[in-house]
Amino acid sequence: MILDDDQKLIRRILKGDRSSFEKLMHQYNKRMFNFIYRMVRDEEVAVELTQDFFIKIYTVIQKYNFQYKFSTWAYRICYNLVIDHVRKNPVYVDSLDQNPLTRKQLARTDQVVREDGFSVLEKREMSDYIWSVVDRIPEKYRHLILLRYQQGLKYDEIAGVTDLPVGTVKNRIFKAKDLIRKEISQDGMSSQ
Amino acid sequence: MECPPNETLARYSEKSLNTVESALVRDHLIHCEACRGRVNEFNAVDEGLSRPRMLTPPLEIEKSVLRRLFPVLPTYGAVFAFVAASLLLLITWIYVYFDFANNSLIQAMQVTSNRLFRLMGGLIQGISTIFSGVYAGFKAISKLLSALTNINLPGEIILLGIFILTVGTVFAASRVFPRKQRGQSQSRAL
Repeated sequence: MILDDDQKLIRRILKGDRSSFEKLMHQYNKRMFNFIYRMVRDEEVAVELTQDFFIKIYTVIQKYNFQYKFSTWAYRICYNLVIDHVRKNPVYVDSLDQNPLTRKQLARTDQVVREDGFSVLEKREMSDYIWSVVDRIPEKYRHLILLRYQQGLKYDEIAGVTDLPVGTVKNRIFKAKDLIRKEISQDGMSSQ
Repeated sequence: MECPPNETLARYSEKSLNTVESALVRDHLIHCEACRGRVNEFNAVDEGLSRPRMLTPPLEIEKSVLRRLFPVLPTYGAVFAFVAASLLLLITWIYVYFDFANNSLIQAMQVTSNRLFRLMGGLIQGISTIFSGVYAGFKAISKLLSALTNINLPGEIILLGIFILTVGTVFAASRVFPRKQRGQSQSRAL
C-alpha cells in the first residue's frame, strides 16, 4: 500500500513519534483555524475549537482508516465539531435581507475613495467584499462555500465530509453563489 | 434559444459545462445582454471566492495542544534542585543522628599532625557548624510555632515540610514556564 505524506506521518504518530504529530498539526493549523474562524466569527472560540480539534485527532487517530485520505477524515472531524458548536451557539448576524452592507459602504469603511465608484475597486477589495457577503449567507450554504473555495475541496470530498449527496452539494453551492451574485447585483456591481 | 437558467450560467462561468452546452450558451450570450450581465456577475463571484483572506493562527494553539497532550517534563534546573534538596535533607539527618559537632573522631582528626586529616576534620566541622546553625533555625521556628498554635512539631518535620514545599514549587514553576517549542514564528499577519 502506497502511503501519502500525511499517512506516513500518521504511521509515525501511531508508533509514538511526538514530532510527527507536531508536524501534522503545523500543516493543518492554518487551514482548520481559518475554516473554524469563518464559521464561528469569534477568534477566541476559534482558537479553543482548533485546539479541541487537534486533541480529538490525537485521541482517535488509531481509528483512522488508511484506505481513505487523511484530510477528508480530518475535515469531517473538524466539520462535526464546528457544526455542533454553531448549532448549540447560533451566531446572530445581519442576514442578507435585513441589513445589506453594500460594497460602497465597505469601501467607505476601508476609507477607500474612488472617483468613479465601485467599478474601479481592486480585485483584493472585491474579494474581501464577496467574502463579507459569504459571512452573511445561511450556515447551510456557508460551510459548503468555505470547504469548496477556502479549503479547496472537490465536490465529492465535500460530500464525504458533510455526508450529503454530491448533487445536493453542487446544488447548494450554486444557490450560495446565486445569493452572493444577487447581493452584488443589488449594489449595481459586477466586475465588468 | 430561450435564456438558460441561472444554474447553467453559473456552470458556464466555472467552465463545468460540456462542449456542446458551452457552445450553446456562448451563442446565446452574443445577443443577450441580460445573460451576459449575469455571467459577468458569476465570474466576479468566482473570482472573489478564489481569493480568500487567510489569517495566521495564534501561536498559542499549537503550544496549548502540546501542553495538554504531553505534560511538560521537569527542566534540568528542577532536577538539579530536587537532587540538591534531597542531599541537603540527607546530610542534615546524618548530622543530627551522629552529632558530628561533638564527635570525638572529628575532634581527633583536627589535632592530628597529618595535614590531610586536619583539612578533612576542619571541613566536616565547618559543614557541621553550618548545619547546626540551620538546624537551630528550624528548632526556633518549631518553638515559635508551638508557642503560637500549641502544635508541637519537631525541627525535622519542619525541615521535611520545607523540603517538600521547595520541590513542589520547583516542579510547579517548570510547568508554568515550560521550555520553548522550537520552530515557531512569532508573526501574526494577514
